[in-house]
Amino acid sequence: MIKYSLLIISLSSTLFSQELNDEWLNTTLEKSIPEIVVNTAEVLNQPLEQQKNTYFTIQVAAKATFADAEEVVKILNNYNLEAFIQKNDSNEKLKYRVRYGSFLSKEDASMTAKDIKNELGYDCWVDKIEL
Amino acid sequence: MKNTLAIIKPDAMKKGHLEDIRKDILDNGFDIVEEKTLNLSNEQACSFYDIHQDKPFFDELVEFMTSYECHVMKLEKEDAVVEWRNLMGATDSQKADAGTIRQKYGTDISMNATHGSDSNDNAHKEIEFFFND
Repeated sequence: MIKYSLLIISLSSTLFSQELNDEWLNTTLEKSIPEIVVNTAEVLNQPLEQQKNTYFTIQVAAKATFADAEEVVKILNNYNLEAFIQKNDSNEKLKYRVRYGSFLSKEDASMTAKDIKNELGYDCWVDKIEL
Repeated sequence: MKNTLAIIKPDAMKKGHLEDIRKDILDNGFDIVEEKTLNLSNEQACSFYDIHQDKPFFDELVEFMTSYECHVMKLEKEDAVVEWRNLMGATDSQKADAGTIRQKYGTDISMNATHGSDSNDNAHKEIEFFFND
């Protein structure tokens, strides 16, 4: 009987601990990612004609090869960030720019850039594009 | 004054030196407070270079500045106007000291890669011109 009681206590403790781990993991992920996702959705839901001719985009990296740039895009994709590659033909050393987003406000873009920097370590910056 | 206006001109942008020049700026202790990439309109270019209106090179200058995109930055550093002009080097890229931005990325006196305010008063005006929102 005592053996069974110990087994039940041990099992409950393991389950409880697992629950805590899951809770911790979810909280950590929630803290680290949602703002990025929410901002993305907000931007993508805006009809193009409402985006006027001015927007903010984040330059995440600039790489010499397409493969290197693609690696960065894959990493960003894992965080639900649909980044794109912009070719810069004139500069062989930094031929492929990896950029993300088309934000209507500088604050949103800066906040996301900060998140990307904190989470992924890229030294990104926000460019305002006026067409 | 702590701020000055810097422009990466069409020739350097066309050659893809945006990142190189930004890096030089940051490595030399400047903060980039605001920045944007834009195609200057004819009207904007004429208005920005208003003081050169009577000079023989005015039309050529306007044509050059509107030929491709520019990257405009508000820079911050102690004595920013002088510090940025030192980092840019002489107006003529052919005469600029080795290691300066104009020597590294410019071609000659007109295609000289960057612009910098020439005084604190003009820095104030030029920053207002591009970043007044």
